[in-house]
Amino acid sequence: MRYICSVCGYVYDEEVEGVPFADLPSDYQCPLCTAPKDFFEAAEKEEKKLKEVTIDEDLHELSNGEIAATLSNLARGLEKQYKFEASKDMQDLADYFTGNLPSLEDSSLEALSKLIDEDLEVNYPNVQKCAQDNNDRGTQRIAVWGTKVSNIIKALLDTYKKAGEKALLGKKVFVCSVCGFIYVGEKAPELCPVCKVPSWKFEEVKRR
Amino acid sequence: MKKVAVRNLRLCTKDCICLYVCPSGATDTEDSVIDVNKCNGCGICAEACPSKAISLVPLSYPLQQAKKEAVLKTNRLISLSKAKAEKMAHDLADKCEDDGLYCLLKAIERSSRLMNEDIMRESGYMLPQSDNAKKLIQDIIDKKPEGFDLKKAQKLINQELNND
Repeated sequence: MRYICSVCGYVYDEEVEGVPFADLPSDYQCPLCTAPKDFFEAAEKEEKKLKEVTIDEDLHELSNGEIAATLSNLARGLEKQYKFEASKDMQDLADYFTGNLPSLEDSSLEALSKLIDEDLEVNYPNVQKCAQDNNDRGTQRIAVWGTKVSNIIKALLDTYKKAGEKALLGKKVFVCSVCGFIYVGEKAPELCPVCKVPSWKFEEVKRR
Repeated sequence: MKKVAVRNLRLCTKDCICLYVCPSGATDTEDSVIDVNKCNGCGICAEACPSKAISLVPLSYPLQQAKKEAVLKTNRLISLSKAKAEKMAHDLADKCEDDGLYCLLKAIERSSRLMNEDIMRESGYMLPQSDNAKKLIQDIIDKKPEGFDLKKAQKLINQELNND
């Protein structure tokens, strides 16, 4: 049997490893991306049924949070075009919206986990299905990356809830500046397990 | 399509062959940034560069591929949710007393923004010079939000985002 890491796609092949997957210790982690053992899925799994969702028809205007992300994305675009001044100006416009977001009613680690779970169970599968139906390759790729990155966030939140500060003691936290993959460890991985960019594309999260 | 040369400083190994081959002197600058006003887009420097640090970028960009309505609508599931997650992680980090959790929440805040940028890029906002992008900024200007730098926004639309 083969087991596949749902974050980075690493394959655990029982024939090659010589140890049945079930016999691995419960604290086994993916050697590439550190996802925990229960984030592995059997290679021959059944197709999950899509949880359909109805989208609010009145949804026209972008929320301020969405505008902030749209503008900072345009700033990244300008940077890639070597238009550094325009990129900085665009980032300033984005920061205005980032700094003026109304607080949410219910903010807690639980609520945050719930948002991520909804993305994984409902939102990304629907986006993926719609993109496939409409032959939209760009959106399909983003849904694949987003699902993997949301999976590692779920894993990290789960681990933190179980182990508390111990989970991060003496470790550094890195974010891939391309896809958002989060890595907890001593140094950034040589290649991003999700989008495969080199280690210098990782940013270390600064301590307070 | 008119192009100009740009240099990637991460790759440049200062062999300076571009200085010898450039017919217009556009690569002869103090700050290593090729002078777009002198560059005639011939591409000789890019071909000659031993470390492949120079490439040609277009001065104007082709139209974006049109996006299907159904995709735009469904993508909002993610953009709304990731915007919420980003704000929540930000607020929780502000209040949080533990150093480890603080770093994790800051990472989730950043990561949520990156995933949201990706989904917005696939929702018709790939090209900064697109009509979509200009309309978004113009709509914000028209609403005159308090404290928003209207001049900067107008300058972007007038000077940087025109694509002719």
